[in-house]
Amino acid sequence: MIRNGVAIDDEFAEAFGMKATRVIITAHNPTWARHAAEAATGFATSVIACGCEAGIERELPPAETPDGRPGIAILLFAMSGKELAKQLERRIGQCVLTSPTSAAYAGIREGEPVALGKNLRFFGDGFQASKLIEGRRYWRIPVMDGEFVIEETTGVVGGVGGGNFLVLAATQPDALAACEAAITAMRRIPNVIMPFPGGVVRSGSKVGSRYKALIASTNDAFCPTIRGITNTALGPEVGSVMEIVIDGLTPEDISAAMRAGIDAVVGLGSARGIHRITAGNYGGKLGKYHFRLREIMA
Amino acid sequence: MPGLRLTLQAVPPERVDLSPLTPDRIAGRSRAEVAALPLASGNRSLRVDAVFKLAGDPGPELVIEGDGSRLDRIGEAMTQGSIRLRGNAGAWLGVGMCGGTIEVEGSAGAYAGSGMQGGLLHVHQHAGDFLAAAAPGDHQGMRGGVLVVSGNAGARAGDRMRRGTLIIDGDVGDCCASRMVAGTIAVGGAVGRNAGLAMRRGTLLLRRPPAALLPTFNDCGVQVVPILRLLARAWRGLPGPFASLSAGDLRARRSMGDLANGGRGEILILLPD
Amino acid sequence: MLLRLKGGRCYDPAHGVDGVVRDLFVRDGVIIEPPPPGTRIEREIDLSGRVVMAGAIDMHTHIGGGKLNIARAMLPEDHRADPVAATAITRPSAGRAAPGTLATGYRYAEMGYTACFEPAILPVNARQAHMEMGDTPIVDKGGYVMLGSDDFLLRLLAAGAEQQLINDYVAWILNATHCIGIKVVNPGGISAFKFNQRRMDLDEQHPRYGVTPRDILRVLSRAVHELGVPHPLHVHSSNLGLPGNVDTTLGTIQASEGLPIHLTHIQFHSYGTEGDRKFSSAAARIAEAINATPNATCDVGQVLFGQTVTASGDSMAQHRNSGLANPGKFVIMDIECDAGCGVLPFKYRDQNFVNALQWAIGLEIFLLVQDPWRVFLTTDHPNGAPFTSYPHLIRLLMDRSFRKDRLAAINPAAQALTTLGTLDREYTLYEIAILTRAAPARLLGIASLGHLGPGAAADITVYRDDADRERMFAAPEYVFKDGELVVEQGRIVKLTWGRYHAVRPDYDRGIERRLREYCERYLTIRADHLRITEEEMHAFGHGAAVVPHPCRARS
Ligand SMILES: [Zn+2]
Repeated sequence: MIRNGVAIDDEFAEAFGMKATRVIITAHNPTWARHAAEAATGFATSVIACGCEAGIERELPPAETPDGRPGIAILLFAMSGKELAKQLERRIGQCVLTSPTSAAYAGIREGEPVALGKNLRFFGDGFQASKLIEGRRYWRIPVMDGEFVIEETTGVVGGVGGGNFLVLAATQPDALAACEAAITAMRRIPNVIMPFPGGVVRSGSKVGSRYKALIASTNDAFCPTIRGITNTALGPEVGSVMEIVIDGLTPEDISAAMRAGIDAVVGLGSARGIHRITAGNYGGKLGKYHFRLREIMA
Repeated sequence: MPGLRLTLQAVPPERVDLSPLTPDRIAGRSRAEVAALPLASGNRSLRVDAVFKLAGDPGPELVIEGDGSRLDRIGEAMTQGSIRLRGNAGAWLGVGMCGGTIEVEGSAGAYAGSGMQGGLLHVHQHAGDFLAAAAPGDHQGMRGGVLVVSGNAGARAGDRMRRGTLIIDGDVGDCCASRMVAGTIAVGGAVGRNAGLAMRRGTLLLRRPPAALLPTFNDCGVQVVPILRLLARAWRGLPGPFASLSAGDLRARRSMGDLANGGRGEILILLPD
Repeated sequence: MLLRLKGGRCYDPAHGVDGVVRDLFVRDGVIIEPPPPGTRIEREIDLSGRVVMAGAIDMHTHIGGGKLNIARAMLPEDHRADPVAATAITRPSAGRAAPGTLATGYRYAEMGYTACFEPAILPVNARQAHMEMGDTPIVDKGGYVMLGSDDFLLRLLAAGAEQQLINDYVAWILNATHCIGIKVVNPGGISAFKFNQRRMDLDEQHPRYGVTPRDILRVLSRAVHELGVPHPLHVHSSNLGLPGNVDTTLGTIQASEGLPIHLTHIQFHSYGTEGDRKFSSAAARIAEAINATPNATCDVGQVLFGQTVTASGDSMAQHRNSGLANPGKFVIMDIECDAGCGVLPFKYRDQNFVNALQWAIGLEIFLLVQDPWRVFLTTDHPNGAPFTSYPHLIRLLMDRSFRKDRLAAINPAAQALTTLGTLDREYTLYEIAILTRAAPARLLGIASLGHLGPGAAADITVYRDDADRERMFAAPEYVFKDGELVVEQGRIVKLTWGRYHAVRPDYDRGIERRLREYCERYLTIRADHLRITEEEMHAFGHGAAVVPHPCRARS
């Protein structure tokens, strides 16, 4: 399949079932909502070392937040509900409770309830108070700038982690420009996050390593600088490869995000140095979800 | 809406317990069956048709017409449907109500909404003493739902209230929110003496400052109260002026008490925005 | 008027009659020998196919006195939730766990009960208790007067008084209070509680008087025996409700030293400490001891699930349990420095491990005690359950498959710790008649109750035979009280007021001077005022007579 001079491989992205939730962070203004949201979703690129994968889903106008203030929706994904609860408590406790003027609300009402403010309330040292409003419980925790309002629980639902595609370009600037265009398009898709810095990852990995301590190592087949001495997957025209990883609430959300991203990349075309799009997988045996590039782009 | 209409034949000489007549309890019965149901009155038992003229057939709505000041326990423990009183209600209106709606176009007697757990109860005129309060011996008054009184309420409104929302647009008598455990009471008019007596937790929101606060309430200054933004949104669509509370930051003078009973309750006196 | 009850199937264990079809003849409120042929029969009721028993007797039910009134005052919700409407002949009343006196009488009668015995009357409260019992319609009543933590007795014991003096005191109290037996509750423990002791074992010395519960049991059971009071000492043992109290209970049986002893609500005293939660059934050991001790009897105090209120003179035990009150309110109080009481509402839940095991332990005791003459059907109303649940309890005893179904529904950990599932015994109607009629009358020494022979009061209950024993025992077809039809088809049709049963043992009047001085010095009421006159009793009981039952003194 060739689009605008870009070859789309007959490959698939292999993704996994995860547990996910959404939290709505509001604040006095969008800047402070973003500060809290960025901190809460920081260092959350990969479950391997970060415990969860998290990112900003989108900004919310005041009309769309529970308290009528500017807000940000963040999504968090983890391998288990228990781990998600742990990460949620740490991240909201350290990054949202601490952030001036903030408040935090459930972004998902269905699914299993998991503690949002349920345990953080004890920070109030007995001065915390709760309010039950239209069936939802909120905690009011006195803090130095006033009162931190946080909903007691948020809902945990099944999610999908590890949707991806790789952009193979002539040069590093070409790859980066294409990925930036892709991320801009993908951020308009609801229910997904691209957890890596700026949404893009340059250190794709393979399973295993020659060092016993490591379970994964650099994906040498896609590393251009050693293509002469490895079993390379790159043709001579490819000078740089970058990857976009997507976590989403449903497989449909991931497909929609991949399509939007690949469309944006393909729109730049071979004229802007884009040669090929492929996807990462482990042979299809590990992940429950397979996203075939050619089906998505059909 | 289809439903049964009960018209009082005369003001009954003794109080009548109307608890058997809720839309859910009479659902599926014929008008004739309802007419034969027994109602306790004093130490006697009366047939429904000895007290009321009946029209229509049982359905989701029940309409009661006439001066029901002696009709007690209207809507007790009802779970769904609606009751509309084109007149007054007696004592224990909506006691233990779990769902549905009750509209009283007139006034209600004592203990309206006592032990209420859910649903919407709206009294267009006034309510008596012990509105949403705990029945003697009970540990909890109102436990959920929304109760709106468009007029005034008597003493001890919200006594031992545990949860839910009680809105009184007019004045309220003495000892409002006494022994309150949790929940929210909003008062639009004047509030009597000893508001919040032995209040443990919960919120008493006042539009007008009371003449005096109990000495066991301590001033916590003027504050922006973020939770009011959520309450204001939840109250949109309710009858009365609290439905149009500002959507923005609301400032209130906050006092906490009753320090004689834990002191985690709050009296919020709204400041003009 | 001569009444013939024709062709009913009679269960009269006092005469060994087990389901024999026969006619009963009633004249002037009494069952008589069949009259000679040709005698004019004024009224005849055909009872063919019906089950006929004497009126049932509840030999341990808290229906009057101070703590019941506290329970009533404390539980307005119990009354609100359960009103009893007036009829043409009955008045309105209310309540289920702590019913008013009227509801108590009506409901007992409607279940075919015609006599009730209040087991915890404090001398100083006896007047109030008799007023309440007197206002309990239809049923006969009597009371056990409570001693054992009273300062006067403990002083006598501490001073090493002779048994004769104790006997005089006990006899005087029985006469003064118009009671039919002596009850002891947590002997000495209620008093020790006020000296800041929070538990008291059988051989533990009272911190002030130096006497032990065993001393008190020995002296009181001897007094009851020597005075010839028919009803043995009625014992609520020490350590009620505590895991491991089985040893105390077995010790208590021995403490009577071969004299008759009645262990009340023994279910609450049959707990072991096995299992992960250190709470287990010791019903087998208790039943074995009862089986092996012919001088011992017991009533069970069965727990049944649901809301009730516990009202006990054992302030020590109630104080221990006060955190379990549901709803969370309770009263623990001293009474005149002579006793105490504790009232706390309680909800027994089938999914609660302890409650479920209590339920199973009670049933194990019923099924493992072999002699139905020595185990009595009680829930210790209202402590284990309101008396209105008796029909359900009877079904549990008579219907194995029903019992096993219920067992399968309780807390699984409790199921694993009970042998109830392996007990296949089913009580027969004859045995139920023993438990609820013949045996209590015999144990109380009341010759006129509990049987259908000539000379018996014509207290007769007629049931429709129904495989669902709960339904059968809940609503008898007819109940006769002293020959009058008082209940028909489960509804009161005539109001009567029953009578009191009492004993009047002899004593040396010398005790009176001593008591006068003591009361003058220490009590809020004079000895002469402690004594209730017979006129008062008549007034309390709507004219009811006090029937004294014979005592055969042995000393
Ligand atoms: Zn008892």
